[in-house]
Formats: sequence, C-alpha cells, structure tokens
Amino acid sequence: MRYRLMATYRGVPYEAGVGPSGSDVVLFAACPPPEELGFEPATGHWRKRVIRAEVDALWESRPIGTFRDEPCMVLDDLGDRLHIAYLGEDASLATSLGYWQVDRGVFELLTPRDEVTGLIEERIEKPLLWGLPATSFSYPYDSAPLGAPPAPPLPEPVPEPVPQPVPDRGGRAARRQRVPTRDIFCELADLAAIPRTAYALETEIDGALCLVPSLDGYEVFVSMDGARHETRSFPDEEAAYFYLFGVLAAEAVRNGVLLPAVAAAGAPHELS
Amino acid sequence: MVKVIPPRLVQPYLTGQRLVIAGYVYRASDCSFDTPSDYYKSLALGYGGSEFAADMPELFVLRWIALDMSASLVPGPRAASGDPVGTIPEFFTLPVPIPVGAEMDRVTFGAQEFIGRYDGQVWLRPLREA
Repeated sequence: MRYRLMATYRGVPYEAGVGPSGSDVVLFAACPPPEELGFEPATGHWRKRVIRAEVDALWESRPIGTFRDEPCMVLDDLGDRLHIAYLGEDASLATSLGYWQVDRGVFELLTPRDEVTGLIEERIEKPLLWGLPATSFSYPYDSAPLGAPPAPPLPEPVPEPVPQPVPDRGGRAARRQRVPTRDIFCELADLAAIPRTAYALETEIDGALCLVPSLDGYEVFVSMDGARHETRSFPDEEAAYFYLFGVLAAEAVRNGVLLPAVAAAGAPHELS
Repeated sequence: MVKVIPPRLVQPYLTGQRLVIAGYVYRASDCSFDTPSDYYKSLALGYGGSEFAADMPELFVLRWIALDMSASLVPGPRAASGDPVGTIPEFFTLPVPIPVGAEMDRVTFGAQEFIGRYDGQVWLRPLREA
C-alpha cells in the first residue's frame, strides 16, 4: 500500500493523476485495458486522459498508521520496509522519533514494516465538478506584481500562439475530429518533451525536420545546408504529421531521452 | 506554484522514487527570481539542517499550475527559533501527488534550463542537443 490518487472510470478503479489543470484527469493501467476504452500505450504503462466530470469517483488513498505513538502516512511500500512521512506539527518531536528532515518541515524515514501499527487506508473523496479553487493560488508563470489580486487558474500554458482546441463538451471522439492535425501533433510533441527546435511546421528551417505542403500533398524532410534530405511524400496531412511525429519520437527513444529514468527503481530510498 | 527541491531529493524525483510534493510551496508570481541566491534569500532556504547555500551555482525547482490544495494545506511544523524568515508568502502542504504536467527546471545564474515534465508516471526528459 502507498499513498496515491485513484479514479473509477466506467466502474473500474485506476491509479490516476490530476493536471495540468484541475479538470484534467489521467488514468493509468499497468496492463492494456479493453481496446474500446481507448487507452494509449506509454512508457511502461497505458494511459487515458479524461475530464474530471467523466470519472465516477476520484479519491486519495492515504495509508495512515502510527509510528512510535505519532501519526504517519505511508508514501511507499518497499516490502519489508515502509517509507513514511510524519503528520504531526512538532519538528523537534519528529527528529527525536528518528525522522530525517528531508526538506524544511518535512520529516520522513524508512522503517521496518512492523514498526508501523494500526495501518488503515483512508479514502478522501475529491470533488468531481471542478470550480475555482478556494485558495488564492495563481497560474505558475504569471508575472503579476506582488500584492496584485491573484489571477484565476488558467488552462495548460501554451508558449507559442498555437490555435487552441475547441472547448471540450465531453465528446472526445467528436472533439478529436474537429481539432486540426497540426494541433494534435503539437500537443503530442510537447507531451513527449520533443524540443520545438527539432521540427518546423509548414516552413523550412535549416537543421530541423520540416513538414511543408507540396503540390500533391505534403513532404517531410531534413533541411540541411539549404538542401532537402530523406524526403518523404504523403498524400494526406494526417499521414505526414504522424510520420513526422514517429521520426522525432524514434530519435528520442534512440537517444534514451524518451524513457523513464527507472534505473534505480526498487533500490532503497536515499533519504539522508 | 513553485517548490524549490532540496538537492538530495532531485534524483529521487527524476528516478520516480519520489512521487509527492510536500512542505513549503510558493506562488509562481511571487518567485520571479533570476539566481539561486535570490531564491535562497527570499525564501529563507538557510533553515536549520538545510542543504542549500547562499552561493550554490544551481537550484532545481518544480512548477505546476495551481490545483485545489485547500485540503492539504496545514500550518506546518513549528520552526526552530533562529531560522531565517522569508519575505514571500509561503504555504505548507502535506504530501500531495505530483500534478501531471508539472515541470522541473534548473536555475543557474541568470538562466533557466528545462529538465523535464511529469506525465503522471515518469519524467519525460527533452532531447539532448547533438
């Protein structure tokens, strides 16, 4: 057991994440769910992005217990040991109990499993209808001056003036058809952390992988020293964009940058 | 929101061992600093037991779009007397899952480098420039 976010979608519980905005929920599955659910393969898991209103329930699973008579929460389960966090408010007490201060006011430790007693799993329901947060936090890249009224949360930042997808009304399939292929590509490329300097869309930039319209369709090529290399032609836009994405993703995988950094998975936590 | 990551926690985040954000967080609009030492001074990172130093050449920060954290915000453990006091409004959060889409940046003197983006399971790192 460990602390995590869960969501029930069409009657089935999944591990979940929330973000980039409060209305975005991502469902995760270790094994491929039924194809009709539309999960997509990702590195080491399957995932599906939904909106908050599409899930049946969203909750935090919080394993709570007692360590040396003080409350704690299990952050991770390493089998014979548990990674726990102190939930009290007394820093000196936490230290005297054996916790490490891993950050200011944050006390954690690895302990043999049997030292944590009374373990129960708290289920904290999260609201499904997303409104403005009660707290006055603002958009991370806001440069509002100190003391200015906080701005309401904004959707995911889009650093370039890429056309925005139409507002989602819940119909994912319908939405997808209305979103231009270029926008889908841009979203995928950003999700894959492919740098925008690696490609050029509907323009030719030296050193980049370029996609440009041609007389009878689209061409994708590497622009180098004013010449086009490895040119491929496509009759339709969608095929061209997904070929482009495939080449960029393959390059990222080959370079080892589109892989999870899992080398140390399973190794003991370094908390000190 | 912004969280300055203690150096000892950078690798646990990037290797997927650490899946939560806990402790003091700040509004991004309050944190438009250019250098690690600006972060150090303004956010009072020289607390007792801190790994941070005023002259450190780099600092790693997490940034994410504000989600509803009202359920996880608490007063925080009482600070030891003598710890420096920051000038920026701060909020203490119990452990919460790292939001999907959270970004990690490396701040150096006058520059900021994108390190990766959290997809909810792993950190996606950018292509290295050849």
